Amino acid sequence: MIVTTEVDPEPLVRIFAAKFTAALHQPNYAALMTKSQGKFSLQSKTDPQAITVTINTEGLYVSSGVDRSSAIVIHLNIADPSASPKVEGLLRHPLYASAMGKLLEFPEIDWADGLKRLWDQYQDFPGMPDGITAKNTDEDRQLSVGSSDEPVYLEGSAANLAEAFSGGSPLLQLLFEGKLKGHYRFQHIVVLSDITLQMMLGAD
Amino acid sequence: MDDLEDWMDQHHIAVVRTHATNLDGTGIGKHLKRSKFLSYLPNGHGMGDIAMAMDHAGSIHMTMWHHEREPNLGDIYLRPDLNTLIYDGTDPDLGHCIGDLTNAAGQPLELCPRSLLKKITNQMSDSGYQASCTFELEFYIFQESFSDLRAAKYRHMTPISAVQKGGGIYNLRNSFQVKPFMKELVKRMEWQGIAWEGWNDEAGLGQVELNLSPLPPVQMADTVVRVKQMVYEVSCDLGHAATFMANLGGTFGSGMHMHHSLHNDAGESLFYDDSKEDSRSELMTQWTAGIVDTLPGAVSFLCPTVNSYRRFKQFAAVPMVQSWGEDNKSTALRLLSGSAKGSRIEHRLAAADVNPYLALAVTFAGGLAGVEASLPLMPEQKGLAWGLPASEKDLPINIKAAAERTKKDALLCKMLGEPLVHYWAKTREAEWLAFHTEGADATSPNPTLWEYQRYFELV
Repeated sequence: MIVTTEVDPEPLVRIFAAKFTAALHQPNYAALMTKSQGKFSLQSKTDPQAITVTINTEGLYVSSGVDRSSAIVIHLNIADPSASPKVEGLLRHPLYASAMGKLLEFPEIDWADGLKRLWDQYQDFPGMPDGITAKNTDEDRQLSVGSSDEPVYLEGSAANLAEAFSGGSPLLQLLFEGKLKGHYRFQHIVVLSDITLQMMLGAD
Repeated sequence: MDDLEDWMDQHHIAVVRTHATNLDGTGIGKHLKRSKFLSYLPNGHGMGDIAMAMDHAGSIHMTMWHHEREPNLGDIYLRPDLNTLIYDGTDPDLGHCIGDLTNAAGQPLELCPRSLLKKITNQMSDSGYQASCTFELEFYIFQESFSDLRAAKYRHMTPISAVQKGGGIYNLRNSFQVKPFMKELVKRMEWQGIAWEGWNDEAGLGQVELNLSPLPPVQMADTVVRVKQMVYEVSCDLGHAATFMANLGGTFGSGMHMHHSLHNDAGESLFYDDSKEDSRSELMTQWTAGIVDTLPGAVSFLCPTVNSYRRFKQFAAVPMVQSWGEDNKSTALRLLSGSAKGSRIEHRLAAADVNPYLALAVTFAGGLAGVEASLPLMPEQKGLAWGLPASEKDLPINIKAAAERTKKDALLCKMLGEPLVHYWAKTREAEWLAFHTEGADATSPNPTLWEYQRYFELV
């Protein structure tokens, strides 16, 4: 199954297309997606952003806005995915709504795998540090990639590290919110924030 | 230095306001006590390097890096160009001085728009080309004050205009309504030695066009940033609001048409050749070819904000395609090639919110590239360039697409420097991201509150 978007996609379209693309690497998720044909929309509760996801035999297509022919419309707080969504069309399409709910539970990414993948892909990116050390404070476990006397050091929960290294949020946002802490040079954190933003938006 | 102090004594200067622009064109600087200003010469005063790496909303550029930025934050310098020192006229103690952003060693920064324009014009001088240019400034004036409009969230704005519906252009009753504002503006301009040619009622309600007298490029751009600042100050002093936002929702947006011509050191036109049937010199043809060729890549610099792209409407006096034509106001470049004195190019693409230094730099970079590569000029657009079928000549008409074209323009990357072009493109992508994710309704056919709050007073 392939994920495609409308031409000149808006950020939310890109973000979800990137999430679906990454999740498809997991066989269970790919199987679930294949069985989930139909059309649903996601509408932000806090701003005018909205997308429509169409799944058919050809693949998954993400476009902007709420399509009136969507079976269900899920109203959610984009900034706080843990907040309960409101589902329009739930009574008419309860099974479909349930399946879509599962589809939106994207597979968890292991923070260490995420860091290794980020490093493999971007270690030669201009301005990258020579190394990154991350510490999972849940388990007091540490992982280093690259080689440096002065690596970028980041620490936080496994979930927040995974959020950063998988492009769930730009790194800087997690630092601003205090979800991650560390020792680093300004330049390195800007470059890593650029990379994680690109990952979030599904780099061209 | 003695002459400088004498001049300051003569004009009672006690405070000097320094003035540079960041990439967005926002004026940045300090008010310095005279003794401090003098003590900082020639290198100028320090300022946090974030001053050149900040967007309209004051957010620091946190997802883009340029080698000139300080690794752990730090200072850059605003080096005064003493040739630009003038007295305010309105404030009896105040002087103004425009400058360039430099590093601690006094070297100009690539991210300094004024320094970039100087670099390009120096290249032109090396080739024997001197430019003369001018801008047409378009802006809207409203009855209400800035604070009134802020409080009303930019609804129910009352244009200063004789009619409140329909409009027209060159309408003398509309002109009469804005005359008190314009009279104050041109009075202050003259106090500061800014030469102007005329002003008139424009097509939008409350819209005015102000024509400045031609100058060499850097002085012209200096003049534009000064006049824009002055329009803001006159608005505040008279209790009105004026804006250089590119589009306020009506048919007619505000552009900033740029005219330029090239001449040699003796002042002879390099665009005119009376031996040619079309009177265009080979240089003018190649120069035009370069500007046309780089036009899609230049759109991003010429239309820098999300709001800039709302101007792009067919038949709304905005070029929609990569094109040129002799005395054709629907094309991107309008050539006027009839005489040695008047041969020039009118570039009609820039929005009123453009940074004038970057606008001239990207235009001249295109021209230089055209001459260097002896580029052939695409066929002239003979008819109207609006309402044409879709083609590869269509210009990018949103901020993201324009940034993509800029990054891919090899000629502009070569002439302006790839790091600068890529940094610029990233700033535009950040603007696009902010627009979509900070509460604006991207589907709105009219300017959103987000645009008014971000641009109305600052561009």
